[in-house]
Amino acid sequence: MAWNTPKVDWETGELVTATNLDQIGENLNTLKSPPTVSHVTTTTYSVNSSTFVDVNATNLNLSLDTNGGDVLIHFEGVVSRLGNDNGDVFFDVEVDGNRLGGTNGITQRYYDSAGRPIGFTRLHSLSAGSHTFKLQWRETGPDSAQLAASAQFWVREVS
Amino acid sequence: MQNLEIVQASVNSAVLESELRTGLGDKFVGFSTGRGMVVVHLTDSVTEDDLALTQSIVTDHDATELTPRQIRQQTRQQAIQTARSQFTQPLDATDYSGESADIQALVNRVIWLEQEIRDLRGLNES
Repeated sequence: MAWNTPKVDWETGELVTATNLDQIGENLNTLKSPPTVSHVTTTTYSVNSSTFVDVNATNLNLSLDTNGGDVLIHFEGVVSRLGNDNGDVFFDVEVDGNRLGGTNGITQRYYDSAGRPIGFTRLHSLSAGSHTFKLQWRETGPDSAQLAASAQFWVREVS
Repeated sequence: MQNLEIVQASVNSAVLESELRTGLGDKFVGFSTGRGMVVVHLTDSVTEDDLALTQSIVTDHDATELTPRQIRQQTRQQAIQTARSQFTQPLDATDYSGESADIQALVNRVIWLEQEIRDLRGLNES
């Protein structure tokens, strides 16, 4: 639902119109249910790449229409090694084709045979319109890192 | 970057990485797996022949094959398991009470190391 710029130039004696009230109602609905997109993984993914690549180009590639302002981008999951070797795994988000993080992404952690939690929440400002958010990762071990099922990746407009 | 999706449910990642690296060289960036698929990440310079080669490497991949390093790791692990089954009881210093002082000192040192290792492995917890 679209956000309407609130009318702030009321004058004494000015009548409230149905349109004014509808716009206030629409804004309340927008605040109650802000634009949000989310995916919870249902399978294990793995990566064997020292360059950032999509975790999954279909399911972890989210689209969101925003009204312009800040969005919260969140990811959390559990990583471990797929083979016999430990290493470091790095996560990042590509927004409209541009990664937000640097060489080591937004966050990183050491992975081994145990399931270890990893996550981040990033505040990011965007213009109004349609945007894409792709979760990406890379790793440095001689073997692969894996992301367990039930990881969640979501984006919500917050202002 | 180009991504090539290929059906392959079972992967030995170290072996597949080696196979793709050998076949494609610097054109190979990496690969991902999930949902019974392998996604091979390639540079934009790949040719049709490279894509066909990638397809055949992944399709023919045998996840039960091991790299030489994995074979060494497996052999080492099996040796440890065998030794564990042979030495189920901690060393008893009284078995060596008639030995020289040097031998008894070594036995006490081995007993100490055994206890440290059992502690590291969480075997001393009751």
